[in-house]
Amino acid sequence: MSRSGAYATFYVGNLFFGIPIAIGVEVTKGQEVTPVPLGPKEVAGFFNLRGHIVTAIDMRVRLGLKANVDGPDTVSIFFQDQDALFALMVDRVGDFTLVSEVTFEETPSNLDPNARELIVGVHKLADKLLLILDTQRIVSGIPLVQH
Amino acid sequence: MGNNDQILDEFLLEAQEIFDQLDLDFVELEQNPDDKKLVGNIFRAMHTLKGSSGFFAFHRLEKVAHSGESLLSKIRDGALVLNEEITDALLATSDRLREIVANIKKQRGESSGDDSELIEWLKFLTEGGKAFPRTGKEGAAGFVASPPLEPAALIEATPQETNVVQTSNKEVSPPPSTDVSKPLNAKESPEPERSTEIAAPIKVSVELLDNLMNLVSEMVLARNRLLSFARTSGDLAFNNTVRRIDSVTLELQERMMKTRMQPISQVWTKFPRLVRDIAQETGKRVELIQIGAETELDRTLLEGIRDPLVHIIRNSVDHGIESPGERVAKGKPEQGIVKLRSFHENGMVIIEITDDGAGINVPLVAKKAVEKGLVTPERVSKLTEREIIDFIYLPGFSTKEQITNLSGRGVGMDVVRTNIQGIGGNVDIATSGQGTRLRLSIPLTLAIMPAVFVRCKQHSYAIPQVNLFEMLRYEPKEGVPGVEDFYGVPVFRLRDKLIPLVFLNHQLKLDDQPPPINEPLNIVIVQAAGIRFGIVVDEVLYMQEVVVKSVGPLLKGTPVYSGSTILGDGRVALIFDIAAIALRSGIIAKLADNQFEQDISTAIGADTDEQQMLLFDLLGLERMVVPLDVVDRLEMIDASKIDRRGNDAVVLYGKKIMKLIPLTNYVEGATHKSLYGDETVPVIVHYFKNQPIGFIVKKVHNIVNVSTQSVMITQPQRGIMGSVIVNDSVMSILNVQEILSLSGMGPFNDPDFVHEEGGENIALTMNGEAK
Repeated sequence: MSRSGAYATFYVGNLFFGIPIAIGVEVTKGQEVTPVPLGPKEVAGFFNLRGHIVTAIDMRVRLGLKANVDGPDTVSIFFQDQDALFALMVDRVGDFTLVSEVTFEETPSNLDPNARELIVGVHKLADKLLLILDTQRIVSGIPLVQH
Repeated sequence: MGNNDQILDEFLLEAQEIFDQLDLDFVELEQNPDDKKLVGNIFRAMHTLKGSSGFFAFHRLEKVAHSGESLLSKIRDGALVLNEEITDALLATSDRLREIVANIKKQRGESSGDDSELIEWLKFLTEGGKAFPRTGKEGAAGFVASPPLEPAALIEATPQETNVVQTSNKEVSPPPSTDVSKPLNAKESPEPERSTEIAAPIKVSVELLDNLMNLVSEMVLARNRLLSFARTSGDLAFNNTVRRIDSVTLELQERMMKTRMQPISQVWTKFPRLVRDIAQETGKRVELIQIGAETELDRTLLEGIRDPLVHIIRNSVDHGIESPGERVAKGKPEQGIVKLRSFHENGMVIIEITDDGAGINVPLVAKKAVEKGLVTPERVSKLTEREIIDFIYLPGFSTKEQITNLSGRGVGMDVVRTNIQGIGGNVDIATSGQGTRLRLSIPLTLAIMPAVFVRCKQHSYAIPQVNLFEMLRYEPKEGVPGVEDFYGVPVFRLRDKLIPLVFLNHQLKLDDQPPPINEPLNIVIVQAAGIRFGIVVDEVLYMQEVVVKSVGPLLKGTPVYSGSTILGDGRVALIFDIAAIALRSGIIAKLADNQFEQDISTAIGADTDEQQMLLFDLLGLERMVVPLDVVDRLEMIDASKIDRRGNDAVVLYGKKIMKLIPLTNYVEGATHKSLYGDETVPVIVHYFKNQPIGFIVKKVHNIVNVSTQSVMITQPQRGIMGSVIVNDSVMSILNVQEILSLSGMGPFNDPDFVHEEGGENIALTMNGEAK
């Protein structure tokens, strides 16, 4: 995964994340999600994006964070993985950010293990840290059979 | 006739493609004479042509292709090596075939002509000869150099044999003279260009069609939203535009669906041959009857049913139909009959394969099941015939070694069922000593299916109509048992049968409330995985055709859902996989452990000893029944909508005109009275020759199970076939055939009339009520 380029950024809790915009990102607000009883807990549900079924992943659950109690304005960030469309449900969207290799650093070892498997590395921006997510891992790491 | 024309057109198109490919192959073959694969391709092309020409009785084509094929097979097997002369001969063959086909295209039939020269040449080469004497080098060149397809020659030539004559003229002298002298020439010449140009269909990738389909369904959704605006808007022009968009969208959707549909005959065409071959191998005489070959279904589904059908037909002929001697001894005609019949019913395509053979040897199946340890001897005695037959679907029952002398099905039935269920269909078997009937219900298309929406908590879910059996609302009443407990399984009594219940909110772990005992329940009776059970939902919403979409990769471990769909308001709804729910809920295992006796009959009326009938009243004559298989729908029709057309009463029904028949006029003992007031009239709809016919009755009750043993054929009374005892009371059976012919719908020579066979009817039971 490239360490420089343009990233779509967003916040989950107080963490600041980015995913490369190269994999096709679109941002939508206020989608009504159809929950999936018995499905993986990371899957918030499905919604419709222009006739395509999108699997929404609750990033708070995925990252092992505390669930957002009221979650007033969940925002979805779309991307495509293989043939399927996914959306990450996040708290707030940031700007598109252009970063260069210089600011990159490998994942700090003291990060929460839940989050670490998903994070490729960090860009040290002037005011905060931008955690780069591996979108493929976000999807593939979800256990399919739950209890 | 039209059908034949169509087949011929298809053949011509196919031939055209073959020739185009042959040209390429021949050119390549010249460069790589050793390419066995190429020779194989050419061989197959010839073979295909030969096969098709046999079908149309194009003898010239058949003979020439056959000779070419023989030569090619020698080359393919390595017995001959391709040399220049053989190439010449093959090219000449290809040209001749092309010429014959060109003539067929023009005249819609084969022209006469002499190919003996070419055939002899081919034969000579096939036998290993070199340098065919009469043609020699010059001749060979002649064959090749004067391609009969030369446009000028074709156009100016009087259609039939002349252009053959032109070519053969150069090499051979005797045959042409006879040809030319034929008087036909003069007759044919006035209509030189009868050929209708066949517009070649365009091959479009399925993917593109799917994309279009997706867009169309999106458009439908957008339209739906538009419609809701129109409802609140008072702008007339806007509303008219919306209406226009509405109708165009609908048509677009229908056309789009059509692009995927193909007649079932595409699969059936191979069966006459199949039946003939197996019959010959086994020394039987079997006739194959095909009814409804024009029934259309989705392309992808056609592929899916091909193998199961071959399997079933093979079983029917091989195991079902007895040897001629045996048949005669049984008093059956020497020639056995295998009947294929397909038709549309409730949005499904039904394919029935009926044979008049020996049927399934149920005791033998039971014995084998016990031997294989599938069931205990005590248990097997309690099983119904249908439950025993169900064993043949088990994979272990599929090999001949394991079940010999089973003169019924059982070979590969597991594969049949798996395949059919894989495409969302169902298999049902009915058998007796008089024959066996397999009934496959296949959805019209995989992309769109009818479903009923139910609500559980605040979300709606779709249940495929395939699984749907009946919907009912249970209201607790004094003295009527409601939900009862059967070894930890909540059960419900429905017409004296125990129906296990699954509470959807529990199943989906939406809440933990215990099942309410004394509250009204909305129960959807479904059938899957061999059992019938009820799903308790909060509310039954509506039925709708849904576009099925996948649920994506993350639900692979959650088999409860078979797909998803997008609702009119743009939200997503999940579609249940009913079989998975049955499994997951554990009722199957619990029922099996506790020897739960439930009639698991999968088809109404298919049982040999029980039939389902609809109970209704006529004025002055109560308690009439009619076999459920002639009932296609039940309707309540507004009397004000009924029109008079001469002596007939008619009503607009969908897009058709439905003739209404007041049964009281035709049934002896009923009171005549004009039924029309300002009320609504209950009508039993029966489709006769695709036309809806409505029988006006006084009141429709429920469905009753009638043991065929209790049917008594009484003295003929007008409109009544006989009587039957149900729950200790006598009921009269309506004679539908007689009513139809009395009301001028006869005569009844239609062999396809529904009576002999049972039919599952889902729409009918929608209004079913609990007792």
